[in-house]
Amino acid sequence: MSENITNLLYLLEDSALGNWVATSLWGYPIFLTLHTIGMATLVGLSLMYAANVLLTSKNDALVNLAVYWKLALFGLILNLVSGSALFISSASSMWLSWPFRIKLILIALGLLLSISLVKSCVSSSAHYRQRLKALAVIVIWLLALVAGRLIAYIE
Amino acid sequence: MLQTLTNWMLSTPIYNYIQSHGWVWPTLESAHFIGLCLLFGSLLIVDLRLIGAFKSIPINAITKYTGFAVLGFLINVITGVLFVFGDPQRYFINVAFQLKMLCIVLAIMNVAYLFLQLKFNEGKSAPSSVPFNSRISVKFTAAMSLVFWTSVIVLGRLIPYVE
Repeated sequence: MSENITNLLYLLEDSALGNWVATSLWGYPIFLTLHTIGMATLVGLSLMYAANVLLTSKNDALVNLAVYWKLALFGLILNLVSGSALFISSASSMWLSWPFRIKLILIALGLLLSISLVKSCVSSSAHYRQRLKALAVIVIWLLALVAGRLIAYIE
Repeated sequence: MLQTLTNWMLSTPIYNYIQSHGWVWPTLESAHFIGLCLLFGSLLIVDLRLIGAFKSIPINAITKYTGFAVLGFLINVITGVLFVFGDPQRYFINVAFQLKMLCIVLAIMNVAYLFLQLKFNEGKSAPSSVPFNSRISVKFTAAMSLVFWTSVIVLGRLIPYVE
C-alpha cells in the first residue's frame, strides 16, 4: 500500500468524526443502525422489483413499482452517509478487508442492475432479458449482504 | 423460569453445534439480514400504499407482496431462535433484546388487527361507503406497522451495545 494512501487513511481515522464514531459510546451504533435501515430499504425494494418481474406472467403488465424508486434512493443516500462514517472510523483496517472490497463492487453492480431493471420495467411486460436481469439483481444483492456480514469475520 | 430455559438451551446439541462451528454464526447473520430485507422491502410497498401514497398503483396489485413479508419473517424467526440457542445467557438479560421482542409482538398484533378489519369488510353484505384503504384505522395500522418494524431493526442493532 502506497505511503500516500496510508497517510490519508490515518488522517481520516484521526479526524473529529472518525474519532467520535470509533471511541464514543453511541457513535458507532447510531451509524450502524442507520446503515441497516438504509440497507433494508434499498435492498428490500430492489428485491421486490426483481420479484415483480419474475412473478409476472409473460402476457400480464408489470405493476409499475418505479414510483417507489425514490425511496430506494433515499436508502442509498442513508447508506452512503452512514457507510462513510463507519469507514472513516476504521479506515486503515477496512481498506485492507477483502469482504469490504468485494461488497463495494457488488453494491455498484447491484445498483447499476437495479436502475436498469427499474427503467426497463416501466409500462411493459416481463421479457426474457428482464427476467435474467431480475435474477442477477437478486443474486448480486444477496451476495453483497453476505459480503457485508463477513467483514467482521474475515481480515 | 428464564434461568431454567437458559440452562436447558445450554445443554442442547444445538448450542454445542453453534458454539463449536465458526461458520454457523455468520451464516445465520447473513440469513437474518436477507429475511430482514424481504420483510422490510415488502412492508414498505404494502404499508405506504395503504397509508395513501403512490395512488397510481391499485391496492389489489400489491397484496402479493405480503407473501414476501411472511417469508422474511419466517426466515428471521428461525435464525433468531438459533441466535438465542447459540448464546442464551447473552440475550435473555439484554434490555434491547427484550424491547425488540415486545415490538415484534406488537407488530404481529397490529397486522392481526389489519387482517381482522379486512375480513370484517369482506363479510359485510353491504360494503361500507368508505373504501377499505381509505379508512383512518387502516392508514393508522399501516403506519404503526412501519414504526414497529423500524423499531425492531433499531433495537436489534443495539443488542451488542447495551450489555
